[in-house]
Amino acid sequence: MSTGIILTPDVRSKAYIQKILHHQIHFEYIIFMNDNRTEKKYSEDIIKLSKNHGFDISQSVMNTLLKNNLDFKEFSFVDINNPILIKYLQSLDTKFFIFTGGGILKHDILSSGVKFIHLHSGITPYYRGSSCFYYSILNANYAGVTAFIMDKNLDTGPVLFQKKFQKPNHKYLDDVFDPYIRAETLVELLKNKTNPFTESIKQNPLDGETYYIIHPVLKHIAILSCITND
Amino acid sequence: MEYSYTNTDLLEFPQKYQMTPFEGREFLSSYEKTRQRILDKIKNNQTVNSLSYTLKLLQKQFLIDIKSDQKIFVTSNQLSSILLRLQHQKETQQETKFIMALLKKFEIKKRIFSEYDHELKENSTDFKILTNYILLAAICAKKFQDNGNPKFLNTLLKLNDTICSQIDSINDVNNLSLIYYIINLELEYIRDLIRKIL
Repeated sequence: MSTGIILTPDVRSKAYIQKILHHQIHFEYIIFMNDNRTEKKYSEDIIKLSKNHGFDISQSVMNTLLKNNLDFKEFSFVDINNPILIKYLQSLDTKFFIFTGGGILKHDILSSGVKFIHLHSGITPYYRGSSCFYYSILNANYAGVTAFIMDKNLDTGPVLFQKKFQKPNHKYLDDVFDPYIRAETLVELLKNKTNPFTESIKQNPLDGETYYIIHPVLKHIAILSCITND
Repeated sequence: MEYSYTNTDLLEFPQKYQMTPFEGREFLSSYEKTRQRILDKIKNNQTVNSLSYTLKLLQKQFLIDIKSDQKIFVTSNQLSSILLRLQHQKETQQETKFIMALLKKFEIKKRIFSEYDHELKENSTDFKILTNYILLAAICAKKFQDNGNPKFLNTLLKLNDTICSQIDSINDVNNLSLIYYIINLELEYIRDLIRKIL
């Protein structure tokens, strides 16, 4: 099935594109929304850890694309609702795109005929919203990812695939663990299914729980639980 | 190390809590110390009323029947009514809906307005009535006590940050007594969680 990916200049996209290349997964179209933001500098510890998890956090998305001679279309904004992007997507013969970020999908893009697949780091419907892997670690000692087709509500679209992960034994949950579990799930979704986007399970938007950005006190307890119990 | 999340006026300059840094175990100690300092300050400056007495006063102050067909809600009336009911029984479906909607509003805007319409749209520009933050915090504390859902503990922590950032401007005995009660509860829940998880 013809698939595309829309990348953004962040750690999630770094993990996605590097894992995809490593597993020789082919995309018909690669789109890079790039606002040329300054690359964040990472410590040697984080770089080493990211490499142990199958991606190099110090390599920018642009570097990876150029180094691997990949064809891509670049836009100078990071906004999934930008009309220029919508028009471009509609001109392509691919109707499924992997979403990495760039805002909440609004009416125009949702009704454009293009379907977006999101890798959300929480097992829906129990963990919808923000910071879900932290809540999941606090509640149940594991984290999880749900791949679903995005709709107008928050994390309520039809589910394609779900995968659970043990909590990590390091403290870099935002920079390494979160992008790692999403990228791993993406690879498994694309590699192990012949038609990854055709079979889905509908969600009831009224089921489950929606969480909000985690408070630093709870975040610290969750992270400390990862590095204390190993 | 300093717990910095209550240092600025959080009503004027709301804290978004996005991508907050990990600062090690010392962070939790500095959080506890900061909250304890607030408790000591309240206790040293005045007599703290018991919770039952505080709620009795609240009942007198906000003895208003909430009608299901009401078009405009005065937030403090609605929250007091729910808090009083929660002490003895479960809230109604309509009240649950109101709590969840207001919790969401606070999580997004970090502000609670003095009036809302029946669709929970703001009917006022006044977000500085601290009683509303204190009452919602007390409701979150009770909800967490009843169901253990960390969503309520999360909002309680943020509400208490906001309240602590305003502590020097609060003189009302009833409000201070409720703050004393909810911060103690919050500390108890966090200490419990640390004991269970770490």
